[in-house]
Amino acid sequence: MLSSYGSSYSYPALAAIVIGSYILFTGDGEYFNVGKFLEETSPYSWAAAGIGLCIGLSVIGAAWGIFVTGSSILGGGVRAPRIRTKNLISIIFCEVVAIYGVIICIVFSSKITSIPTQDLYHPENFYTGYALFWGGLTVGACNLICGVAVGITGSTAALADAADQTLFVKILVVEIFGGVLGLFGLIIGLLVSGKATEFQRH
Amino acid sequence: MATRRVKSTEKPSDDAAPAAPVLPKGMQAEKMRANPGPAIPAEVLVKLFGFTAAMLIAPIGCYYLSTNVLFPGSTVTGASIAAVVANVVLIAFVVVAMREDDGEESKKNK
Amino acid sequence: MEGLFFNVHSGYVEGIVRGYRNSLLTSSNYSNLTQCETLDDLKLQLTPSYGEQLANVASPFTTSTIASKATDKLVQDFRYLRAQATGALAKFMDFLTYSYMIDNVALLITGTLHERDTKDLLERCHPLGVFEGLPALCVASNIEELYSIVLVETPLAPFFKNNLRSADLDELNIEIVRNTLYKSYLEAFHDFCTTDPTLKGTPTAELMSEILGFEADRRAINITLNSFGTDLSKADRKRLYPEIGKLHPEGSLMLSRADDPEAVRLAVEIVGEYRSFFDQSGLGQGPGSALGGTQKSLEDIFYQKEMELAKDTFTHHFTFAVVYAWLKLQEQEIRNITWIAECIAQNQKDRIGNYISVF
Repeated sequence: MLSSYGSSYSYPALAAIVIGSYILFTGDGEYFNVGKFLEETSPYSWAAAGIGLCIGLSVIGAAWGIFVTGSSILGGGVRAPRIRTKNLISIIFCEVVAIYGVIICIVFSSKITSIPTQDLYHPENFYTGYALFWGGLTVGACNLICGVAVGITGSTAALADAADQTLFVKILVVEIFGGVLGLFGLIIGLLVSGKATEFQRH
Repeated sequence: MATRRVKSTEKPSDDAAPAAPVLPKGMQAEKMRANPGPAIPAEVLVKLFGFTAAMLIAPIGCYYLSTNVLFPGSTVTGASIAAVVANVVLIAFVVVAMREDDGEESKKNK
Repeated sequence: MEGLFFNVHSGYVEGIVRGYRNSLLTSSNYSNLTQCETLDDLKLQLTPSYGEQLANVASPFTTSTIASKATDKLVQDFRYLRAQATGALAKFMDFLTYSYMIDNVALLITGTLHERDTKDLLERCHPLGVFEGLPALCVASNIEELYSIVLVETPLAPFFKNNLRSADLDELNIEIVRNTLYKSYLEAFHDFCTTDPTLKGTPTAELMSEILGFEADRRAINITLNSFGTDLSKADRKRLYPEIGKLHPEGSLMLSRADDPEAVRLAVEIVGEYRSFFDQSGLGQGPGSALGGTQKSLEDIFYQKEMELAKDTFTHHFTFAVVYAWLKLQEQEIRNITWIAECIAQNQKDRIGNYISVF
């Protein structure tokens, strides 16, 4: 796996160098312009990218946690079937992470309204676009890590429970603390987007 | 490939063990011993589907209830209520799961 | 990082292995077993873990039946795991079977050299080390043929190819062949665990490196102790030491020069934890207490240490080493049960406590 890292990084780098040199040597150097990019990118695309990242990363985190926990519950449950109901708690902890992502996405998408293009490029609308993008990224990243954390803890909890049932409640506490991390992301996401208004004419 | 190898390696020890059961049967016996009775009791199914549905519907339903009826226009309040409701469902499941396991244990003790 | 990807392929297998480990006999089970008066009592006590295998055994049964039935259970469990394993875990588990294959091949080679009945030999082979080409080894009429069959038919070919020529097989003592194979097997296994791209830098590499290193050291010490009084030259002896483990390289160099147990003790003393083994066993204290009775206890101390390593392995998560550890623990359990059964059968109650209980 390690040896393939080199090649997987080198192709994009090569492509970037080729395209960059082409732009530079054909006299279009000023084509690479961060300010222009920020000015001309539609706030809609920022907002939509934020919503997509939010739900996408949240679901990846939840799904990752569920498969890590799930395969351990299945394996541990073969010899100790009693762990089955209790350890679904870990699964539902992961699930809740995805629900956080969905809630945020619904809140964010309620701010997207259709307005004519000439009214779109206004500071208020830029603010909404950036707020939704970075808010969505915050929530998505928090939920991704939270889901993985809960998943790995849940996997350990299942196997520990199979060995000694008195351990489960203690590990559940660890899991709850892991699960709360996603809630932090949700709160910050709401605060960031709270001041953003809907897209509107000014 | 794997099953073929298992079969062919089984042969030498056949005379010692009367037709050593290949694994699926062994696993079945394991399951039967641990959980005699119907494979999935109805109440477990109801509980499971109930919680799945509650997890899906309750938070989002509460969000829309809040933004449209209770506090119109305030999405942040609605989202907070939805997050709280999601956690309420979660805690309810924890309580139910714990109670079920305690019930099983006390049944065994009797 | 292993927490993120381990369960994709091996989470289920790991869960099952931990289930197997939880059903191993504990010290209270063992103390119940030692209270048994007859083998039938013993069978009754073993019912929770071996009921399925022992259920349809006719009543007058012997200790060897108990041992073979217990081994059947081990083999059955192992094959189930092997069928579930994919990727690196499958290869890892194949490596586990190679050590049994080496024993089986060595057994067959000795048998063929002494022209023993092949069917009888095949029955004595360990079922985990059985492979498709094994019966073909019995067909070989001479050593040359046997050697080429081993190379073509067995997964052991790499271990044979680099270390032994066909001429070696009849000249050398079979123990030397076995130890040569084992050395290259341990090195290959160690190499696989520490350099395979999917295992490098994971707990598997760390734990297996320690376990295999211990195994290598144990073999090196045993080879040295057993070679005293034989005509094995020191240079040949040095070639049998695996090039891994805590004793390699200084310790094995000193071992290769050792002439008596005292020198072995000195060589081994560079590793702190092994020093106490020799103190406990009383080996190498003086010229009078050489081999014989004390040798046995060193063996037991090594087993004890191996079991401790295996037990500690289960404190780690997301590692293949638990499969290895479980296999060793289960084997020790079979040895313990056989020992207890033997003591009951021969009415030697005073020695019954001489088993190694881990949990």
